[in-house]
Amino acid sequence: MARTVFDEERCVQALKRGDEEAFSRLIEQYTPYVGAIVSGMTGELLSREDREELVVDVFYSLWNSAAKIRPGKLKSYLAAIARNKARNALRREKQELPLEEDLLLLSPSDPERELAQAEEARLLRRALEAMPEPDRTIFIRRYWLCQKTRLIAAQMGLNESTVRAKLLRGREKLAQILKEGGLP
Amino acid sequence: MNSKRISEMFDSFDLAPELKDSADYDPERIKAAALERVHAGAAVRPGGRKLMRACLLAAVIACFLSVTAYALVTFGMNVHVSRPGETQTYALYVEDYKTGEIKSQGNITYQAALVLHFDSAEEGREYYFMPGWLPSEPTETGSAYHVLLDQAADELGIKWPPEEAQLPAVEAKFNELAEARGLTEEESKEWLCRCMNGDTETHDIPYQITICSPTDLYGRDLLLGANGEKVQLLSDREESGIRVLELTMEREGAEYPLAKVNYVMRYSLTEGWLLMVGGTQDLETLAKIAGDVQIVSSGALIKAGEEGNRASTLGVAFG
Repeated sequence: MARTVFDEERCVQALKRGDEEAFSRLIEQYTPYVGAIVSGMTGELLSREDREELVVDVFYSLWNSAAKIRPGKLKSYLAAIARNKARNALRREKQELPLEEDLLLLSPSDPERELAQAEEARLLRRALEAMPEPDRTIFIRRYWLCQKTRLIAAQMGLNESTVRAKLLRGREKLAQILKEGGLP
Repeated sequence: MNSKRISEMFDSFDLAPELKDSADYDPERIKAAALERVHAGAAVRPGGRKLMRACLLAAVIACFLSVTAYALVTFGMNVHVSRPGETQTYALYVEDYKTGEIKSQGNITYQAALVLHFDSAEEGREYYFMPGWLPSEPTETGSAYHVLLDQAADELGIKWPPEEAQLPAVEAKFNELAEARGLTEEESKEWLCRCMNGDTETHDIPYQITICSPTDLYGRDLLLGANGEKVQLLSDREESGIRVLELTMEREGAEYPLAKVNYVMRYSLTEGWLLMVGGTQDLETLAKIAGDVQIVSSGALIKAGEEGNRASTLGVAFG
């Protein structure tokens, strides 16, 4: 029996040419992943129909912005679109991360140099690599996936206070690395 | 005090976290719904006049509705006043006009006084305008007609101006693009992307009106005072989902008319269009022009290229 291997790069190239068959294959392949992000971020906040609508929005955005997909980066590109759409939904429902947990205060004596986006991303990656597990996963779930600490604790089999403590350490590590990387 | 939102730091972070796939969504349903949208977006719309007037009516109504800005805001604009000596660096791309190839040229660094950063998860749309009150007749306009002609030539791979033998193909493509937007050729000449009153002898431009859709998925920056002009932001307010900025830009020590220009900018937080009215007229006059402009969308999505310059500088100029 012939077996069709899913060649993602060829699918992406075809998608960029407006190939609907390729688009369909990518939807089949990535609906579970995009759905996991949408559900993970919006959870019970939205109805099933609204979450499904968001997932459709993500793929429709993919169709319209296919030219921007870089080689080998489809999954992270889809993840970014899904995260943005879900965060907009969280904003509409006034469910953003509380400022006191999301804001990273840097030293008041710093000369207020604005880091370039690419440099900031590099330092963030360094901070994440410096975190042990499960701290790294907790940090990503909280600040990328915007999950509540109670849910993170339940899904990872941890005590909620443990999750909060690890997040605090993660924020301290990030602040330290930002200062080392760009601010005295 | 310098501060950052950690969740926003992840906005431009290249990450595909490992997650347990969700079985809650039927790929066949998602596929059907997504393809329906794709087909709806590409359809040629009959009854073009009615569609454009419906769009116009919706735009006018939207301007007057009092809405909860928070609930409808999907387009963001961050206004950043630069600190002394602060610079902005971007990757620079240029187009080879012989081959059309986009080439990287390393980085470019500016020292802009004010940076407007636009960001949204929504795609931008194509917008045009019709001016209402004007202090004087325009001397120059750019319309949807010109935009679509350029696009027609571009899609056919034809360098402007086309050869005579290429004209029928350009005309056919133009008609296709216009019909997809519900526009006749005459209507395409009414909808403007640029309108100005300028004197080429004195080099004075009392007013210039332009419209654009500055956002894409990763954001774009508009740099003010990138050529050494002193920028003063005089007003920054929100009016029914429209962010309004009033400012002046002055090149000190220079004596030509355009050395000092005023700007009124209106940015729709719900639709993502940016209307800019600038020139040597006083701010009150420019604000009156800006407040009396009708804005419509053709419905076409603005598709940014894979590589493109993420920053542009602001200026009032001929041509």
